Amino acid sequence: MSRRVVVTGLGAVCGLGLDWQTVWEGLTAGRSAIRAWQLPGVDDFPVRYAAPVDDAAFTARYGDGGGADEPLERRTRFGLAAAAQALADAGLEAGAAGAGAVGRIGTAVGSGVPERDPYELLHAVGADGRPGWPTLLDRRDRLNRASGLFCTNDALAAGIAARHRLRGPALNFSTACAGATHAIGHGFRMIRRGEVDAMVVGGADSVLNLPTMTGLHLLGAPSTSELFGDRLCRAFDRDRSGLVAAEGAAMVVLESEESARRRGAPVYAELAGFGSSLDAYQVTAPHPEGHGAALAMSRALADGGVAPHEVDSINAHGTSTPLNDPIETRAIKDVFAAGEHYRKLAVTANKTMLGHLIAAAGAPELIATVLSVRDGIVPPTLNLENPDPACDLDYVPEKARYQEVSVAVSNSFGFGGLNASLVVRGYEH
Amino acid sequence: MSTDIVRSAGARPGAFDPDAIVVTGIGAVLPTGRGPEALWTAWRESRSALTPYRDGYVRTEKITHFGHVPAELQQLSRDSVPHKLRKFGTAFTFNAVLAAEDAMRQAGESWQAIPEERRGLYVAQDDSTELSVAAFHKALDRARTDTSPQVGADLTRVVAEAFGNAATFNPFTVIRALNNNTLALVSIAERFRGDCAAFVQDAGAALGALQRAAFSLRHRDCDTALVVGAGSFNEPLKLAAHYRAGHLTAGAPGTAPLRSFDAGRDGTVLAEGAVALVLERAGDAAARGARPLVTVAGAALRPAVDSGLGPAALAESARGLMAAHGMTPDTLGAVLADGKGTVRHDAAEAELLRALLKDSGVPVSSVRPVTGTLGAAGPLAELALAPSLFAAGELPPIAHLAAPPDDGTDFVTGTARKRRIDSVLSLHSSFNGFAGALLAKRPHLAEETT
Repeated sequence: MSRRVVVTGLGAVCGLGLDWQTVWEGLTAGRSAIRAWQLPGVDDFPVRYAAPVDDAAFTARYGDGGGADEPLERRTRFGLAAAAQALADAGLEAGAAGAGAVGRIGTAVGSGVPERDPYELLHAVGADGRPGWPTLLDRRDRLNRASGLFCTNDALAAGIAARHRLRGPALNFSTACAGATHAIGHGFRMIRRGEVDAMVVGGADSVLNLPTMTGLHLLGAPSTSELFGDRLCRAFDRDRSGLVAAEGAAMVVLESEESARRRGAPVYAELAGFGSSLDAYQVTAPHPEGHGAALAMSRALADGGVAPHEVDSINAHGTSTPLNDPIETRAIKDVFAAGEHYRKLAVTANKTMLGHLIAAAGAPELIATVLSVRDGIVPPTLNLENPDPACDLDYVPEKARYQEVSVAVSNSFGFGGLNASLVVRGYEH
Repeated sequence: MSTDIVRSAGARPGAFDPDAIVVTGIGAVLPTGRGPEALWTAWRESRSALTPYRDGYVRTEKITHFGHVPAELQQLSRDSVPHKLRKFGTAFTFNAVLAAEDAMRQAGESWQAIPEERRGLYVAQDDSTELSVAAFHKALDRARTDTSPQVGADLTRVVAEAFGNAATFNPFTVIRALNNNTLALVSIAERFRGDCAAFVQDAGAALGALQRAAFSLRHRDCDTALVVGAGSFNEPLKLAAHYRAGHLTAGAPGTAPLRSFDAGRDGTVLAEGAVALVLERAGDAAARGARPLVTVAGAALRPAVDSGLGPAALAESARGLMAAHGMTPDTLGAVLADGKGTVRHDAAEAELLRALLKDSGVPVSSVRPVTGTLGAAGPLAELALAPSLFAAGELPPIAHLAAPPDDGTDFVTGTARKRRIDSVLSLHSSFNGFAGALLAKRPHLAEETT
């Protein structure tokens, strides 16, 4: 069995907006969510820019994430809100007229590092400087119930399944910055091969806490530059100096074509192919020749039955780190070498506006890719003022471009050399 | 209907199916020692590998026991990891690398001929990470203990000092904290460049990894798949959470710490370890002369949404899984129950067993009193035992089970049950509401049906 898989619902929560329509409008307008930012309670943290979700606006709109009995991590609140949006957008929320027409619906999400509250960790450290159970027990009333102790990494997958009474599989993927794309890709495969009829797939993450940001900072991942203000995320620019962290979630509803047609659901686009690979090179650096990235793209194209020359646009991983951008460029040139097709590609880096949502990153970028195909607009790569000579593709600098996009590829590459690519195609019966 | 059934359409029952998914290599680094044989021997002898809890950084009298990987084996694991990679890994990812090496070795030399790009890697990892109280303490320790009097008084300053100073904080902490740490290390150490996935959802992660690996093999997304489950519950906040939830045994003197299904059970014992399995299509294994050890017939995994429906839902999943292979409960060779040893989990599982097995007479055992609750490695450990069950023709008893439920389920107590075993159904539940089942069968050899 091999079925076509279509996108029938979208949901997003991030710094650029609290619904997919606002996010897409922001992306096409070239608006950035990146702003000056400080870790709460730490006034001299060296990372000074991020793309956070507006807490007050989020809570005003979504409450605590939907009436959970227990407090939730930020990422889980964002993820539940995005999933609810996507299901409603697809007409599959509980009680909707068409909801019963779909067979088994599952969920697959990408998650990252648990949100640890450093103050909570300190509650376990006694006066002798050593963590101990009695100390933790004595201080148990001070523990943040939304952190560590009470939340597991699979809480979002379980929460989506429980809240929406989904009867299909519920899977929690953890492949770093490629997490959401892996979740989407495996969900796609499950529908295509008939395991399920529909999937709510995507990712949610929030790294804007002290332990995780410190860890990322000590790896040298986030930029600490203050030279460019909120124009700090400079994918493919010679002055790029690291990623700009963000938080949020995005989910899409994938559905078999038969199911969507049977219930008359509007279709945004077709998800046509998925490819994944491992660099097997280094933990903290991609393969210098981009072998893994190229392999993921090639596999996704082959999986979708798409020839490289049919591709119009690439939603790049484009992290604005010194290593990723030229290596991704090289991988693109390698995959699209025939006829120098890479010269015709419109390559965009959404992270210059969204920031890097880490484990969730691939999900809003897939939404942008889907809408790019639907609307014929390629969002811009912001802040590309002086292209790196090693980055010599058409990155759609500064302003969105109106052009027909029949087929597009979305890339995600993660720490540890984990790669995933998706192929999106305009939908026609 | 189960949530995911791995099967080969069109294969005649009893015939050699070249698309069946078989295991050709097994590696294990567990509290019972190295390799599946050590696990089997400990189970047969009802010898518990659970020991008093120990940790270099955490004092506690509340956590009485733990399933520690023996120190010398832990050192072997560390030694198996290329030196340049050690700074990125944790103790349990090192266990995963050693288990992977052992599994690949058993799969045979000809396995090495499979191109790196065609080797898929599917990992299940526990939620516990390096970004923990222990890691934080190490940072404080190195920063200087003169900050400790400030704890509770000026948290911001202490935190800023501990986290802000690269000299006192391991720069690779976030790498160690990533739940895909095992995937990254194994792929680099063992040269896997193919399709991949990594899951974090307690024992359900292993079922997810097995499902995706089998799926990818069947659909030619890879030509061999290494499935690795690894982790450790030895993380203070996790232990605290389980203690508070009432999951852990009080470890009363004179009693076995983990007593699955026993009327006197009072909690589980958490554990650590890694299991790795090399999976292949049966036809490929036969072509290269590899010996199939066990057929992975299928797995089912249900989310928390079903928790309100009770055991009937999982029983239905398990029946669907068996039905897909022309089996009914009474044709099973054995059932390996999860048997965590908590009052609540075992009561629910006993109800499930009643609903599933009824009067089938299928014997039920559990390895949990020997290994403890393993998390992500758990379901793979049960699968690793299947070849021994097939070969020995006996089902070891549930260790320390003196007073089993009197509900018609045939719990094996005292001595091993002698019988031919061609299939094993193992049951699994996670602490976060996922429940699943895994069906393994004696492999058919190509020459048996020619």
